Amino acid sequence: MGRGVNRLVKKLYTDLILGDESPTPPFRRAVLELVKPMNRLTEDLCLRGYHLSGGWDSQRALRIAFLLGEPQGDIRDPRIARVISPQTELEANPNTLSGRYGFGPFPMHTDTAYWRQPARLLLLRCVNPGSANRHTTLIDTIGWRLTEKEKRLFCNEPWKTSGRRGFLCTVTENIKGKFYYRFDKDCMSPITRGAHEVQKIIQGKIEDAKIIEIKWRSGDLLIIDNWRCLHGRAPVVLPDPDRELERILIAGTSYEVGFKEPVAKSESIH
Amino acid sequence: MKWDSKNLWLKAKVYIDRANELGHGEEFAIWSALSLELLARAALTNIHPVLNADPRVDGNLLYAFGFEIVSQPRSLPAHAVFLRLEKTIPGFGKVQRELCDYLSLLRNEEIHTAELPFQKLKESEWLPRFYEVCKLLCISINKSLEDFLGGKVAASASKLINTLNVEMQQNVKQRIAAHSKVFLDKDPKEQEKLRSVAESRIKLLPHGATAEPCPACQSFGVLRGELMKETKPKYEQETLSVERELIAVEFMCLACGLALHSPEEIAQTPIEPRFSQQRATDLHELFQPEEYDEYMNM
Repeated sequence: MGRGVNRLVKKLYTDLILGDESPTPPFRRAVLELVKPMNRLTEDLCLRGYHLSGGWDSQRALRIAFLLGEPQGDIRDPRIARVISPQTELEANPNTLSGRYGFGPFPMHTDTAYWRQPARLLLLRCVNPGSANRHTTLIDTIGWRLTEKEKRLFCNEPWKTSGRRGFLCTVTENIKGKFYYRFDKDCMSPITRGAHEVQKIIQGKIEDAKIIEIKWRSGDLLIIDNWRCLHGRAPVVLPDPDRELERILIAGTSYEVGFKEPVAKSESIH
Repeated sequence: MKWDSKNLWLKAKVYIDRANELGHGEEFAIWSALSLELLARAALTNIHPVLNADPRVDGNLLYAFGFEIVSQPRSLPAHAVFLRLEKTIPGFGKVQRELCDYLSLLRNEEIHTAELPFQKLKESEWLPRFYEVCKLLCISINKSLEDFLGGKVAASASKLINTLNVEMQQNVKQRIAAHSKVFLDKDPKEQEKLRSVAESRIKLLPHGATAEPCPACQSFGVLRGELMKETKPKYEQETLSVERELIAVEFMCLACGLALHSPEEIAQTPIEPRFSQQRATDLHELFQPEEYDEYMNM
């Protein structure tokens, strides 16, 4: 794991503590306080593809986001930290998952799959878990053992993203032997016969995959490796417009997580 | 970036998939030709996007280097793309370029005129070479023919590529046999006369050409080569010289008239596909070529 953490810790010290602009003592202390959690979260991201811990306020979450990469707003909403809640189909923006699914469950997807390069990490901080205690669901694609044929299809068959400036892409990229995924059936469509085959294979893998359920408590911070894990939203019996998650998207490739075999953990967290 | 190699490759793949869905016929050929141009640009931009820029306008070059420009970036015309590929992609030679140019001309005729140029196009005229070109371009961007065409089509495409050499081998053998027969049927005195004329003509060959026995009549013919590489200059026997390695591209027998027009045709005969020549040079040619004339006039 070491290299990813070392690089981040080094960045932390050099950029923020030893940089040209000497930080004020309180800021210096605040940054130093983040070193320990940084070690833990980067290790988690390497091992499991996500990190979950409690007791985070908005400012601390934002600070950690800047340490991890380049936080970015979305085209539809340029705010870096944005509070998102379940909405009815009518309330939500069209062409969003809420606009399509309302209070229903969200299918497994990569966030910002319609970006030329999807966000590298996704930070979700629980402001309010909501009256229905709805779970966020995750799938770690490292468990997908692709055959040679699947690798060829996944890395080569063209898909098209929707939107005003749609573009061609593949669901998988092989970067130095690691397979990174981009999949969102609601904003990507298969073009070729081979891509339709990929769609069927992925749906099968999603159905067979081990689902990790995140049970939220206020102040929880979930960081997802968005190129490795797909995430979704579990169904609930009653609408939960009071559920509030603060979302930060981190772009760029400055943060590089390693890949290790997933550790055996219970399927439910908390 | 509109000239991103990966996205050009994906678009080429979308087009070839459309062609393959049609199987064969006129539209299959049209989509294949369109796909080929995109694949060619994917191969070129994989080296660097600037190779795809029309160099007559600075803005196009800047765009290729990632700068934002006001106007729409213009790319090179297709024929210039193929010329650049000939100079940069291993195995992509004159024969491959000519096939690309041919399909590009048909594509232009299809788009710019009321003619139907693809209607009477026989697959035997272009498809094996087309697949060979696709294979070469895919390899240059670390992809395989299977990645591009899919497993089944790639398997049949590979067979078609293999026929290229078989067909060519038969064709070259037939031509050698025919020239040999015509030459041997001539009167022995005439044969001798033709041989001696050939021998006298090979005494004054230009640079880049060498004399080689004809595989049909054993008289001398001229083998013309194109420069592949030049070694560093050597100083030997009070002369500064360079060794030039050439690939044989054309052979013409000066006695029986046998002509071979490509490295592939030459490869079907006992003639060596490459040859080297030594050429004298001097320091001014090497280091101050732009001042060469002026200096030598002093």
